[in-house]
Amino acid sequence: MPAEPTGSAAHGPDPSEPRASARAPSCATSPEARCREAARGGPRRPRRSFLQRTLEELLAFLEDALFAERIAAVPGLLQSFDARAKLLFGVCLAVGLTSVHAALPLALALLLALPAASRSGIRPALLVARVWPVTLGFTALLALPAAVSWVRPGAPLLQLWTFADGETLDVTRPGLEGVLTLSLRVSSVASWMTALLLTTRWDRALSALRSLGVPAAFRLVALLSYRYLFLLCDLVRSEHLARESRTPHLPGRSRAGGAEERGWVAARIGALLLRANQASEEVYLAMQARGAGIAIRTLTPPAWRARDAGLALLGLVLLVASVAAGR
Amino acid sequence: MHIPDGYLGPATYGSMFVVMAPAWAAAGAVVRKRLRARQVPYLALAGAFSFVVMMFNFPIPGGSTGHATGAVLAAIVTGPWAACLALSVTVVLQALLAGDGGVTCIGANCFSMAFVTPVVGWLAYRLLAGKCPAGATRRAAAAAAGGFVGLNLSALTTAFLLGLQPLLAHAADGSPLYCPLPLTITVPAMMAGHILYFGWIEAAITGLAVAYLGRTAPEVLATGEASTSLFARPALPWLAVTALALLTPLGLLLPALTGAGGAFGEASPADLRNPAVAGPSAVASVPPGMERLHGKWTGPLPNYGLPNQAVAASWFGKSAAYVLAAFVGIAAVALVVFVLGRRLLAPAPRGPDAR
Repeated sequence: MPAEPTGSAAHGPDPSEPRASARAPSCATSPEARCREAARGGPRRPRRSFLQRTLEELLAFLEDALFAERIAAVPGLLQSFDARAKLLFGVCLAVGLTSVHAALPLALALLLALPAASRSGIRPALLVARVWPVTLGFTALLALPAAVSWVRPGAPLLQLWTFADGETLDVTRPGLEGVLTLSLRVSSVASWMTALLLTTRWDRALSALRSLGVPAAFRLVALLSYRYLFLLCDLVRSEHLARESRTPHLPGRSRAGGAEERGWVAARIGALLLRANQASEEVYLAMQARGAGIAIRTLTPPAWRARDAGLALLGLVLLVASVAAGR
Repeated sequence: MHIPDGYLGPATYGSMFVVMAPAWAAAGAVVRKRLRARQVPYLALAGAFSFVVMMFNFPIPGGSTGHATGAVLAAIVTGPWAACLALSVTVVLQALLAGDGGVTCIGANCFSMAFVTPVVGWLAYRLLAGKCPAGATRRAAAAAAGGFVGLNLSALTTAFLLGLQPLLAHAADGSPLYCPLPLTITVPAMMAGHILYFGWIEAAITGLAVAYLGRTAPEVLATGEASTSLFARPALPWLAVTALALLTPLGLLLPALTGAGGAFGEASPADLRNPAVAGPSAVASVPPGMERLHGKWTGPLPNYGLPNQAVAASWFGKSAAYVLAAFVGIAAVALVVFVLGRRLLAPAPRGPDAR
């Protein structure tokens, strides 16, 4: 059984979860388990076939979607705000943080995401394990060439190499500061956006796009797309599971790379496309049968409360302050 | 290839939303005209397909696996404009649902993955496929080439967006404020992986899937070819405008080659005093009104360049800024014309007594 996402979460396990975890490898059972294993450098296991990899990715996606739905349903700090206020706050914060060029405020924003997540039912360790290895680690790795003297000259901090002509390759102070600032910026925005999105129900988040002026047609397409994503995922999972169950696992035999397997994957993609085409026709006919046309009717959004307006205002103030400080 | 938040400066990611606005509007107009009420479920399922297809692991000789985007395949089947909208939905879903790509970079990611990949890949496919039948090998090969070209151009776009950051946004001491890697690093780093590895996976999947569709459902391939109304007439002018934008650095190169110098008095009133620029027309003093008003308004892209020309002093930097300014200008003009066109050319509302 996957661990509960929060210590205070007063809700039972999802009934669909034990079935999924019974078939899935341990790394695909829960986001926490995956994060723990990723932090340890990944589980040790034999090389997986393309079928197993696709199945694991599908399960991981479904697990993440279920996990997000569960977190969004838990009472907490960020859950208590209206989705529109959170969306405005999130956009203002993202734009504001991308305008900040000093490491200290970015580090502060990054650290503040942890108590906000904690009070919203997301364990800080989970947020750290879920976001930071990718953002802090990957960004630092990607931007590392920019820390050396060839790309960013400046005061040397660490000498990496001395060439025959006496020239040196160093890690420079301005280079390292630039990498640190970039990593902190990427991580702080990602941490806050993850916390905000995990605590917002998907349908509410899409409805909230209305407050940003996103056309109703786009919102409906995105909502339908999200719903049918799971149908198509299930279709792909069934096909891959069927083939995997029919494939003998002989020791010493290569399990991927054959021309027949490549043809099979391409044919599955083609068949998925045909199925999506067919499903769109069925959905259209169903919509017609119910009298739905292009006109999109949405529920009247709830009135803004003082706390929602406060959060949106806080976002605007942070945006203005960040832009002013960044100039 | 998804750019996260923080790698692009506000000027770049804001501009990319402006650049994508006419593309979304044009795509919406084509899809609305062709599909009418069917557009919502059609685009929704195409978006869901684009999302799911990225989870397929494609076996590679040697036992490894790789992923493809399926963007060109979606364009071949649904048409480039429907694919542009569907892939835009996918990019938004990936940013909001999976944290794949930044929220502020949705415009930039849509440009590279939802516009450049399907449109360029589809154009290459149509060019190479010609009028051959649906099940022909040539059509599958054309689809594979479209997948390869579309993905690589998309990677090049991303590399340019990242590599332009040190030129576009920097501190007073020249330190880059966003992605610190210059074009000389981002372009080879991105293109090596895509030309040697990812591009071939995309090509194989696109080609094999089109071959499969050609055998099993050739009528589906005909659907994408029927949805090209925007390309039917204005393709040539758009291509010409794009070519002109790419040729704008000639405006820097030719004066340097011919020694013609700058335009008389255009850059600064001080040029009027400079005999090297003004020649025999040089004046001893510039009218105070000209001096006072000069530089009051420089615009977001002064002199069609970067806000600070000191860092972008190289010819390459200036040229990149010229091309960027050209595309931003084209997008802005297209947006204004589109909005005015919608306002001015909209049919008059019919009253109850109108016949």
